[in-house]
Amino acid sequence: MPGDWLDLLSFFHDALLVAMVAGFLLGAMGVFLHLRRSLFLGAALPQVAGLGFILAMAVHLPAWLGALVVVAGFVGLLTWRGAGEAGGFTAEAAIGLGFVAAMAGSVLVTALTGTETHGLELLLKGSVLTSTCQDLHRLVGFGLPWLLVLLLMRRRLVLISLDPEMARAMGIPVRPFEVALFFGASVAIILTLQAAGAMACFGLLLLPGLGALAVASTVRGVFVWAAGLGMIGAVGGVAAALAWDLPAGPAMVVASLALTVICRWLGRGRFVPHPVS
Amino acid sequence: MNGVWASAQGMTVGYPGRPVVEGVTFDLPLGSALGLVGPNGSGKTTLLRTLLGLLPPLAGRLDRPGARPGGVGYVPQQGAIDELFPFTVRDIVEMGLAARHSAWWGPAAAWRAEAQAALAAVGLADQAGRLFRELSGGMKQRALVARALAGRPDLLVLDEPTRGLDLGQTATLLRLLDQLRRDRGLTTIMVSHVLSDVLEHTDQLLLLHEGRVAFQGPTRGLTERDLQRIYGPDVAFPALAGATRSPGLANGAVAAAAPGSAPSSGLSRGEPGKEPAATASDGAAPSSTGPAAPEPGRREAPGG
Repeated sequence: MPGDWLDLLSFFHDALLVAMVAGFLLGAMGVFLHLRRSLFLGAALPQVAGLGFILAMAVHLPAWLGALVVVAGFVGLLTWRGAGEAGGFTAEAAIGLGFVAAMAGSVLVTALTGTETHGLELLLKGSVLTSTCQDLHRLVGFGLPWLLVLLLMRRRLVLISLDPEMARAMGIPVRPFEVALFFGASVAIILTLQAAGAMACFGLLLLPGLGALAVASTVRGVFVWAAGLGMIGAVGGVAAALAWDLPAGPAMVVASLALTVICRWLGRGRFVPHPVS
Repeated sequence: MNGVWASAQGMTVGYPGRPVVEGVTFDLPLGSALGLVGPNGSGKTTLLRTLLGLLPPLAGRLDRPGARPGGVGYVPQQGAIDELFPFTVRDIVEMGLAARHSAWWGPAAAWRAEAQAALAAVGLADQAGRLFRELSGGMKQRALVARALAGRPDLLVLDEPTRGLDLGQTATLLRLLDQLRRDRGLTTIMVSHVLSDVLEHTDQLLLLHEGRVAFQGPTRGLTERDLQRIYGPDVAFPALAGATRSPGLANGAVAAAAPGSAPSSGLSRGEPGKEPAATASDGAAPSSTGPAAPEPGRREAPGG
């Protein structure tokens, strides 16, 4: 039995490493979305990127290019919307619009081009088990540097996420930092989408942060815990998928969810704010 | 224009196609304390955002000769800071340094020392390591004042700083703000819907009502008659018009509150049938405009 596992691990060595880096990246990136209370963006961006992938494949362009173009357009629209007060609808509504339009567009394009199976895989299941060494290099080469940049700008990003009004009043240019943050999240999602699938991307942006908030006692700790939980959840999901022949994306979500529940249980009673007078 | 932080002439503020406050004309002298008072929805925040340069005026003119990048310290309303995250008091104050320092990683020790100095200025030097969410409401507000001070501002803007605080916390906070203004020569703008908080702690007053500036001028120029003319004859505010106003009181609300009424009111009902006054003022030359409207305003100043 251990021999079987060792064989599996060596055979899916790249898949496990891709899952590990993807979980680390999305877990840490998700903390910024928690901080901004923009978690719906974490659901919308993978869907939008997925539409870009599918459109690009339909017209025989590189998938990453299609995803990048569509996501950049969406992020541009969001940050332009966020800059004004007179649009007549909220940023949440704009994100929701992107989510539902991308989801409907993806299903329709895959139906029209006869690639439903591939579309389903991209949006729901992911294909991490087929990840290659190149996937890993892309993740490490592009994703981790972006995360490092965001972490280095953490102080300003935290202020801008937490209290954008104060940041503007202090003369800090909020919009470029928001674009950097949204773009960073988009890069992470584009890099991990094919491996994890849109559903697991959202799960790994959301769940590790939720668990980290329950157990971390400092803000830095929240980032460290979230990255760690994301990594363990993703690898655990892949291991479960291998062991029981399950789709990897949903398995990663369930593994992350289990970790989150454990963290919430361990951290119960920690959050006791002082009652407001 | 010298000696003022900002000067507005016939300014209309609001959003494209939706003016919120019209006819705003005033000077904000350097070192002065302006109270911006009005009920919820009266346009206080919109006017404030315009003064801070976050919204362009729709009409009229606004000059801000005293404004400089990073020169504004902003204290938001209580509850504006996300308490799900385990921010320490020091984390919160260090955010105030973000505009003065590089966007990139900086030496932690230097940031910590500056944050500690700001905390000492508000009497929270020993609370730096505590979680922000565990502080009392009054201490949270003082920590947010420290955050604003950490940016070394010329202008300190306080948005409803006493909301949610009890009387003791309110008095402590307002006394601290007076002291900081004196010691540091700060220009301040205090936004509030509680008139009594503003009366003793500002020297200029802008009272907003129904989309217009209903009163502006030196705070001590406001009389009970002005309020009755703006809000109707039922309004009584014995802390004004030389009746029972006492400089020894930290909060005019104490003098104004009727027995059994909320202590933070600052505005209470007077005798029915009292006639509204047509003129404002006790010689301090404020300008008063705006419609008379029945406005009980029992708990919160005019209209709240």
